[in-house]
Amino acid sequence: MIYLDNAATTFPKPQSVIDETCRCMREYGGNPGRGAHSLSLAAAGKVFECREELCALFDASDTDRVFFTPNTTYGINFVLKGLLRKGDHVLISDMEHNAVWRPIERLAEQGVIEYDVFKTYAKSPHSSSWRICADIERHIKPNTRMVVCTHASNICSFVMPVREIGVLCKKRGILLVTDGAQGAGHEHISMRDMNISALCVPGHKGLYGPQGSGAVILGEGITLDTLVEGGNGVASMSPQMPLQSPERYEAGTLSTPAIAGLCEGVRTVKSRGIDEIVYGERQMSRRIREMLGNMKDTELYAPEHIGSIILFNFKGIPSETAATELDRQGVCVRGGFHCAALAHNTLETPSGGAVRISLGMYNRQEEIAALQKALFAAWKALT
Amino acid sequence: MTDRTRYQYKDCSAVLGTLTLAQKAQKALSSAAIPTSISKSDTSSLHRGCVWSVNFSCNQQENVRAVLASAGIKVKAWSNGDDISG
Repeated sequence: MIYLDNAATTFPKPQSVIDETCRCMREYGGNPGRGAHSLSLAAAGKVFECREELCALFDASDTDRVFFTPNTTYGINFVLKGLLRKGDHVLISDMEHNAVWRPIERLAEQGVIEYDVFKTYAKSPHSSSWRICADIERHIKPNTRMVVCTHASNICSFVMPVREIGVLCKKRGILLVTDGAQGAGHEHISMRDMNISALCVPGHKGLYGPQGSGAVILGEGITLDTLVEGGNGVASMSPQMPLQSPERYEAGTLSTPAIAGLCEGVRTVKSRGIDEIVYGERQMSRRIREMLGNMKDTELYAPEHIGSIILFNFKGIPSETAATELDRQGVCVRGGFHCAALAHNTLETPSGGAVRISLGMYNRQEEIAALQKALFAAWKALT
Repeated sequence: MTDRTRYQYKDCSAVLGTLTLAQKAQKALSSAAIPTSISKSDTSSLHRGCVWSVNFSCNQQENVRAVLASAGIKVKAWSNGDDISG
């Protein structure tokens, strides 16, 4: 079996992630931040280590700016609903995942905010940071409070010019919230250099942690209203959540085994090096694009963006049918719309969506050779 | 951490509030070669419930104050084991 659905979740996980997740459950599975006994403090120590790793990886200002969430979607909801106020105007890109679009749409339906969608020109070979920033500028209103954008698309290898958008946001006094679901572990992200107000990341994708791990990293001076309230082991006699981050945002028991695994995942990514990971993925990506480009009746979307994701269709074949046939041929890919309606509309994929191949650091060139055979076999079976 | 290490420095404490803040303080103090332990204190009269502290040998109190101040870590209260001062 060849696993090429790493944009959904990376697989396999590093052995160190599996070992540490198990070790946590076996050896130090206390509840962090509750009791002050040895097992609770040991669990808390691991949670703190993971905050430090994430703080360093994303060049955040302080470890207490990192709080854990079960996934990116939860983090994005937390940030949007914790920052936006009635009357705010928000800009989102035309490449957003539903993790951004749906909470924004919900806030708009409730009459809390209004929003506009700016263009990324991701389909065009002439997309540029200048054109994107010009479109953002065009949409800015006096009440524009926030720009929300993905760092990297989840359906093609388009990468947002976050640094340039950050400069623009800083100049205009606008918050910049970044969905790092696909960028984390695949791109260098610096909270400080990029003027990011809040970065939401998954643990289980490019950081190679277990599912159920994720984090929000807040910029300096950013305080959120709470989305969830409850126990956190601090000031328990008070009816309110404490003001201090990260405990303010972490009501209820954290998933310590997932966080322990994530800590090792981040270390694995750091030790391998993001540049090396990206280099390997791009080499394979080029080869896949080439083989798909040479196949009859195959359409590639946004092929000029080279990275870990390749989006294509066998012409006239519904994407889910193609994905199912590829599974029969021993290849795991994902068809459909990938929870990204805006992005699919931007790339003008057909009504049946498209097939996504997404690479990870454990894919090997031999697998790409096997993929070629599977693609030909699937195409033959379906046409 | 053994019980012994947890209690052996419990002469003086810096009451910090959250566990993460106590962990940050412990890390800063460890970098300055000041051994500490973390404990949860019931100072409900001051803080409406449990708060987290770092414990250290009282003869390090001046050093601890200096290190925490230089790390920008605000201390809610200081305890010498019996008394708490804000």
